[in-house]
Amino acid sequence: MLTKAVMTSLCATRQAPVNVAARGIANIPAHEYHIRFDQRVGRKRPAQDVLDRFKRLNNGMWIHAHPGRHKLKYMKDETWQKTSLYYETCTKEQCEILDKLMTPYWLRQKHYPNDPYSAYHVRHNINSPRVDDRGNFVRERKKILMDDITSQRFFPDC
Amino acid sequence: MSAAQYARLVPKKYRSRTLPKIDRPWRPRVIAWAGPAAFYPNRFYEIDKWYKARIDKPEKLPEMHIIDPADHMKSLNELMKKPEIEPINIGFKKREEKVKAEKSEQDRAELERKSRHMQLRIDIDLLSVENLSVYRHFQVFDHLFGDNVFFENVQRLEVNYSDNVIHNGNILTASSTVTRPEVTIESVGNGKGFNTLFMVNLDGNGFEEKKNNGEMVQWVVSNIPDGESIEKGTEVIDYLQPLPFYGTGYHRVAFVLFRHSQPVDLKLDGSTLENRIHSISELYKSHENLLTPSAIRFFQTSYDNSVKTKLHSLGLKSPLYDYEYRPALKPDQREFPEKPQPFDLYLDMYRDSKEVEKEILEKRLSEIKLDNVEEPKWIDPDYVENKKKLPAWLHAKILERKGVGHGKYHNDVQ
Amino acid sequence: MATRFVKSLVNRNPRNNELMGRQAANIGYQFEKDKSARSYIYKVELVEGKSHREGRLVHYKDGIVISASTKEPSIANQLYSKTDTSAALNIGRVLALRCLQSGIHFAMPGATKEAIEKSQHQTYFFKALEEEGLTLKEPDHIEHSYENDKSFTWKRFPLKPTRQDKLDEL
Repeated sequence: MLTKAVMTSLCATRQAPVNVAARGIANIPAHEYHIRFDQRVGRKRPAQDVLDRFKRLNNGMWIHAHPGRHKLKYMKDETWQKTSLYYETCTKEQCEILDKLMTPYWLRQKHYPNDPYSAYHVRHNINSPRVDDRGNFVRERKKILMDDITSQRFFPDC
Repeated sequence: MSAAQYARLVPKKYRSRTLPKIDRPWRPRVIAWAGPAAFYPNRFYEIDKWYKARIDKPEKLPEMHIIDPADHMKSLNELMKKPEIEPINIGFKKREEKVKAEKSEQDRAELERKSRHMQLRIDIDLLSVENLSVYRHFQVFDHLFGDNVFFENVQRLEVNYSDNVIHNGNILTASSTVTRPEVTIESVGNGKGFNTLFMVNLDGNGFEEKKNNGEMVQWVVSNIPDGESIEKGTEVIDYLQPLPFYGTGYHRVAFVLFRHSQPVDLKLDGSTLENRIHSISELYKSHENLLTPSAIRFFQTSYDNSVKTKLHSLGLKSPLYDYEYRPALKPDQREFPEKPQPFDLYLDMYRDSKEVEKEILEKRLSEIKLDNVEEPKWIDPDYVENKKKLPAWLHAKILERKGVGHGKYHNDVQ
Repeated sequence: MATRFVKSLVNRNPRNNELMGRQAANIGYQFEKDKSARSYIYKVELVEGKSHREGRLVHYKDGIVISASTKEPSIANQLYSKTDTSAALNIGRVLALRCLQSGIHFAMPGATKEAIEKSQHQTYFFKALEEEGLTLKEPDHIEHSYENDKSFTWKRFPLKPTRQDKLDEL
C-alpha cells in the first residue's frame, strides 16, 4: 500500500514544470488579445494577461511596469536605471481598450485595507468634464450629477 | 414633388388617393449653407459631433518668433541689453584729483629693485575709492532718491562703529551697531556752511500704517557747522540701531551727508517707530533748494539677538518672517498624460500639500507613539526582502529620507 | 495705537538673495564647450592690456561692478611699471580690498586653471586676491525643497525621452 506522502510526491513529479518558452510579444497566443466570449457563463471573460500586467486605479487610470526593464540593464545609462523602475501611466486610448477587455466587476471601485495605492485613487484639481457625451460618469462620483462649475468648487477631488 | 410630377411619373392605376408626402431634397440646401465639406466622410480627423454641418475650423497658428532683419547679426548680449539713459547728477561736480608727483631717479631705482623681487606693495590707504558702480549695483541711489539719479562723493565722510569702518556695502553684525557711531566730516567750506547727516535703513519699513511709503530713518543730525564735530549739530531724530527683522535677510543702511549754506529746519518727528518712516526722496524734494547731497556711505546688517532685545525694550514683539518661495514650476495636469509618467510621482505633484502633511502625521501617529518620534536606527531592516517583494516606487518611499521622507520623523507634532 | 508689522515684508535689497545663498548661479549653455565659465555670480578677472593691467569684479547680470586699474594715477604713482608682474599683484590686492569693502567675499576666478598656471601675472594676481581674504570659490546655493518650504511636498523626477521626443527635436 502506498502511503499518501508517496502519492503526492509522485503527482508532484508528474506535474513537474513544463518548459514554457519566454512570453515575448511574438509568443502571445492569438486568443489572448481578443475579447473572449465564454459559452458556459454566457458573457465575456476578462483578459487574464491584462489582469496580470496592469493595475487599474479607482479613478480609471491604468498603470503598468516598464516593459523590458530587466533587459541588458548593464549596458544602459544612469537615468534609465532610475526611470525604468517607474510604474507608468497609460494614455487615454490604452485605458479605453483595457477597460473593454475587462468585465464590469473589474471596473468597479475597490477598497482594500492598508492599500499602498490609497492616495492615488482620487485625482485632484482636474477640470475636464466628468461626464462623457452619452451622459455616463467618466471619473467616479456616484449619485449626484451637477454642473461642472458647482462640482469643481465644492468637490475638487474625484 | 408637385402633384403634376406625381401624375406624370405614376400611372393612374397605382396612384394613391392623396398626394404622398415626399421629403424635399434637403442635402443640396445644407451644402449650399455649410459648404461642400458638409457630408464628406472625414476619415482623417475627429468628427465634431457638436456641429452637424461643419464649417472650416479657424486656423490656429503658433505665435511666431519674429526676427527683425536689422538686428539679426547682433549677439544675444547685445539684444538683451537695456537702452542706457544718461543718469542725472543731483550733487556737486566731481573733485579734481591731485596732480601727479614726479618720482625722483633714486625712488625709481628703489621701486625697480622692489618690483623685480616682487616685494613692491603699494600703500592702499593712499588710494581714493569713489566707485559709484557699487552704489548702482546695490541700487542705493534708486531707492533713496528715485530712478536714474546719482551724486558724487565730494566730501570725506568717515563713519565707524568702534573698529568697524563703514565703506560701501560691507557687512556688519547688528550687535556692533547698538551704540551710535563716531562720525568725522571733512571741512570743505572754510568754516562756512552746514552739514546734515541722515542715517537711513532702506529696507526696514515693516509697518502696516506706512506700507511701501518711505524708508526707516535711524538718525538725523542737522545743521552741523562746517569743520565742527557732530555734537555741535541739532539731533532731529535720535539714534536707533538698525532693526533688520528676523528672516528678512540683509538690510542696506546708508549714511547720507547733505550740504547747505543756511541752517535748515527739517521738522521731522521720530517719537515712535512708525513716525520714523519718511520718504527720503519726498523729503529731499521739499528741501531741494537748500540741501545738496555731498557724500554717501552704506553697510549691510542682518538679524541677531540685539535686534530682539531692542524691540523688547521698546515694548514690541520681534516679528518673525519666513521667505516665501515662488511656487515651483510644474506642467499642467492632464487627465491622461500623453507621455507615460511615473504614476505616483505624477499624481503627487498635484496633491494638496496640506493633505500630504496630514497623511504624514496620521501615518506617524499610527506607527509610533508621540513621545517616541525618533528616526529608526536602520532605514529598512528588511531591505533584501522588500526589494524583492515590494514594487519599486513603494520601496523608494520607504527608503526616502529627504523631503517628505524627512518630515515623516522630524515634523513638529502640533 | 499699537505698532502693527506688515504681514509680508519685501526686502528691496537686490543682493539679498545672493547673500542668503538662495540665488542659483547660471549653468551655462548646454552645448558650450566650457560652460562652467558662465557659471558664476561674481567673477574676478585680470585684463592684460598693452599698457595697463586691470582687475575687474564682474556680476553675472550687472556686468562690471568693481575695478582696479593701473590707469588710476594714485596706483600708478606708487608702481615702477604699469604692466609688470608686481603691477598685477598690487592690482589684485587693491581689488580684493575693494571687494571686501563692498561686502563681496566670494567670487569665481575668471580664467581657467591652465591659463592661470601659464601666466605669471595671473598667478600673482589670484594669489594676491586670496591673501587679502577674497575666497575664489562660491558656495552652492540652497535649493528650494520641502525643508525650507512646507508646500513643496512633491519630488522632481527625471523622464527618459521617448523616440517621438527625439524625432520632434529634429
